[in-house]
Amino acid sequence: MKFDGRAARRFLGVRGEPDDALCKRFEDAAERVLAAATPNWTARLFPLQIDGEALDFGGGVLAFCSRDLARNLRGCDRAFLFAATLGAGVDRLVRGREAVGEMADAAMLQAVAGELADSLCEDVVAELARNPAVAGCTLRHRYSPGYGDCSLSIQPAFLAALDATRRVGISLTGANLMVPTKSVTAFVGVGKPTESPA
Amino acid sequence: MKTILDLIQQRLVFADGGFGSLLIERGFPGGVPEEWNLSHPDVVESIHLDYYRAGCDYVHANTFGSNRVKLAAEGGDSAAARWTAAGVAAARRARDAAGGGDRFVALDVGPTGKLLAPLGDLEFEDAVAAFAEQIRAGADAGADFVSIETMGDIYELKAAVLAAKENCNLPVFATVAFGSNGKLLTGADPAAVVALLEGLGVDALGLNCGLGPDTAAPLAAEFVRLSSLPVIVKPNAGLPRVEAGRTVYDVGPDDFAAQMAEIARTGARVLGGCCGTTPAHLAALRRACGGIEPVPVERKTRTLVSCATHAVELCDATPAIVGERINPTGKKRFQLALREGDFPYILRQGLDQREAGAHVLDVNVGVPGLDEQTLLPRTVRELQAVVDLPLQLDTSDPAAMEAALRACAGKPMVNSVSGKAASLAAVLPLVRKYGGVAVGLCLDDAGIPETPEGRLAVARRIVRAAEDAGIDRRDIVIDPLCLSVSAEPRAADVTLRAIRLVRDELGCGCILGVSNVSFGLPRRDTVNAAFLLLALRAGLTAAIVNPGSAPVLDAYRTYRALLGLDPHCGEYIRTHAPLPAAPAAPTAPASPTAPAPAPAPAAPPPPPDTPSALSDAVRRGLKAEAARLAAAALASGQDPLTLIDGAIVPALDDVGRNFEAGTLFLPQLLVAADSASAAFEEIKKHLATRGTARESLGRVILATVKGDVHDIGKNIVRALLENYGFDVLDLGKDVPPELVADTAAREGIRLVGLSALMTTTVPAMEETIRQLRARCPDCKVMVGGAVLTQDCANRIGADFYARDAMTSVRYALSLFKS
Repeated sequence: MKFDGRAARRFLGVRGEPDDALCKRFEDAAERVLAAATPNWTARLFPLQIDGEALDFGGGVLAFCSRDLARNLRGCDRAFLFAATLGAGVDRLVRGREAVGEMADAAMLQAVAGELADSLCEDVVAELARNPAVAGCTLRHRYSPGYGDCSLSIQPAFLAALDATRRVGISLTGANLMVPTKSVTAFVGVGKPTESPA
Repeated sequence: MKTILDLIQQRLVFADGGFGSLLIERGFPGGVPEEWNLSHPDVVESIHLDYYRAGCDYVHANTFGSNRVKLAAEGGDSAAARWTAAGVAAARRARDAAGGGDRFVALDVGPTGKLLAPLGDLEFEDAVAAFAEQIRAGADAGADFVSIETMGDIYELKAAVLAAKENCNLPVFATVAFGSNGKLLTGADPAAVVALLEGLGVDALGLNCGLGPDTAAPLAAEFVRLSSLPVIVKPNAGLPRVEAGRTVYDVGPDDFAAQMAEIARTGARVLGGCCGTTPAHLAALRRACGGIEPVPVERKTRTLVSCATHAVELCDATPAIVGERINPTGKKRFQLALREGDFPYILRQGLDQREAGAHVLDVNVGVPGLDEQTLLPRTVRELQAVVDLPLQLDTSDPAAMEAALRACAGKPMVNSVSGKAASLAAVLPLVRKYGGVAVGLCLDDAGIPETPEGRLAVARRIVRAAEDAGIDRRDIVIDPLCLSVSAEPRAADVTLRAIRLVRDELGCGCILGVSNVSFGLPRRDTVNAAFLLLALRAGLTAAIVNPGSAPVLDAYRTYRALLGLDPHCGEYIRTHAPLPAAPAAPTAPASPTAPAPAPAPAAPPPPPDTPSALSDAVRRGLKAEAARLAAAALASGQDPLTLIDGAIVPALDDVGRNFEAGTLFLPQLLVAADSASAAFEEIKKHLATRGTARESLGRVILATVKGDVHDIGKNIVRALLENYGFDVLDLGKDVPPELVADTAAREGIRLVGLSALMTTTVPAMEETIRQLRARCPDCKVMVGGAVLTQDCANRIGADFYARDAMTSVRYALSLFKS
């Protein structure tokens, strides 16, 4: 995972060049988030059938409609599903600072954890791209449930398809939000192999 | 008739292996496996039969996920009990088909798939209820014992074991799933698991799933080293990988069996498999273990207490420092915090003590007029979510003690039981049921005996009664009590001799509230430190002290270094080596994790312009400086109101204006707010000693709406509103509309702030506003959060759209000042 603080500062609305003291605080927050984090992920490659807005991963393992995701995955006959998390320790860290009224610190930790979770996803996608099963194929940008018209209601089936609760400890609240909160689920479409390898 | 426990006494016992992949091989298309207990019972039965024929002594009924919480996600929650019963029945038919005899059926109890509160949204008692329903159904259907499996969280594990203990009389086995880091998903190590499970009185314990036999082996050895119970090991067949769309595992039957045989030789008594293992694996395992003589289960004598992540041993080498500061006795500020429900204040006491070196935290919230039976468990829940230390539950009210024992995510110390008959009768059964280390006070109906021998006699009676109640002697520590030497010259000597007598004759550990000895004397810390050294030398294994007292902690660390108990004087050096000088950071305080140093009451006289210096400190976010200046100003007789209105609030306003102008950003606004809070804390402390309080600008309800768990935005608004002098009733996150409306109506609230981050929860916000309009027509509603816009706010009928935290404050001020 990489951290440069730019995304974290943007999450908190910091514009322009921040002063050194503020940067230092973000760096310090990143160090503590990394110490509390137990990054973990799991992924699986599924055959994909697209019929208009209807998507079917793995022949019925996960089937639903989404116009926006169908557009993202157009031309793909396979897709990775992945679930990644920074782990419960990060939630505990942020909660702990909030619980004692350290709001500035909590907000910065939260923002930093957001950036690191994104960075973890980049690492996951890079790892997926190295998978021999997709050699010579291009991967689409990752696309998460909750984006566009892709409903969060698919989350239970998504996590079940990866056995993600048991494997990486991601579970859902009654409103289908993930806990630990710094967790990401996403689809990564696999394009057909290019005719002439680059 | 022989039970599974009789069998474990006699020889190695073999459990079954994986189930799901065998079900898929036989045509299961995916979905809820337990459904097949009713729709395809013959298939389920045939898999069990294969395992019995492979030589397994017991099989797990196909009931792993048949609890109503897990099934609710699949829409089958009403079927939980039926599927459980059918699963047990299928396993029993397989047993009969295999020839009955010494073969057993375990009711398999797996996790709910939800994370428990506070990290998740499943309440502890709801988890207990879901497991209870499953366990009653399984026991009624004739299961021979309960096997709780694959647990990844200490708190959920406790819920399952309690449900088993409360709803059947069957033996209980419990195994957990470790990750490759040797910890559970929520962070517990093997010692924390062993302490909890032995405390709760399970019959066998260990690990399953998660790891292959190679990586499970060291953890299995750790369980054998720590536990007095038979150890169960049921790993996966190595690591999973997906091949042609199917999950396969890389360890074949013979390798699996060979590695497991090694684990049996190191002392595991129950062997089986989990994901990826098959009847062939188990048959090979049974053959490989043919000539292995089981290692006898050894009784361990360590005194362990635990929290959700780790255990602490009370022993001579590392006597435990038990922090005494969470206690309102004689502390006006603490009493105020309890009356106001100011948990941040209480939690800070916990964090500060941890930082200072406490190993265990005493928790006492007894204040006349407050409901301890609600307050103690709530404090336990709040504390354990933030501070990872074992707790010492400190109350004389048995009902409060029981509620706190249920809430506790670990094995706590139970402070206390005395030699009085009523106390023994009330407290010991609780320790027996929930697990814990009982603190036995050497006093009885006749009072505190004057002689060491008299105190030993009481201790003897407590130990005997505890053992009669089924509590192991290692789970009792004796507090020989100490009176003040200023009132009773021989008090310290009597206590020290009593410690030696107890250690020599009874063999159990000793604990002491060290600070009592110095009551009425000057320089109490000096006396306490000296007495602590003497008591440690006499055999104290836990000391209740103020970890913030440097002389006391220095004495403790020096003692361990001098007696060779601190390897290479490591801890001593870590604590006392000079720290590298902190770089000067003009606009940022030191590391935000460092506790703010307590402002010295004897600070140098404040400069003449303290208010402007205080303003400056708040503006620049210098938290410790702001607290110090406020304390100094108050000590020099400045009026608190002048400080608030003349220094702190104007500084906040400045920062707020710069934030609104876009020249400062949220982090700086929050740092300033935190600094203002630190100054207000000093004012609050000052006013509390005078029995007064800051005047409130008005009362505001804040809530994150139903379905939403993101509450940092709401918490930021709360921090700012409180700084400006509003009383905030924070209803938390995921708050049902009715609760907001009820509270507003009951409390006569004029302003409610609602927050939502997710698009999906905006309808809940709209419903909350609708109910508020119906119940409290005069109440104003402001809304905010990532998904909200002015349009959206208008559409759902809010009075005000707060685009950021500062705007909320401005709106509240305009409303209450008009």
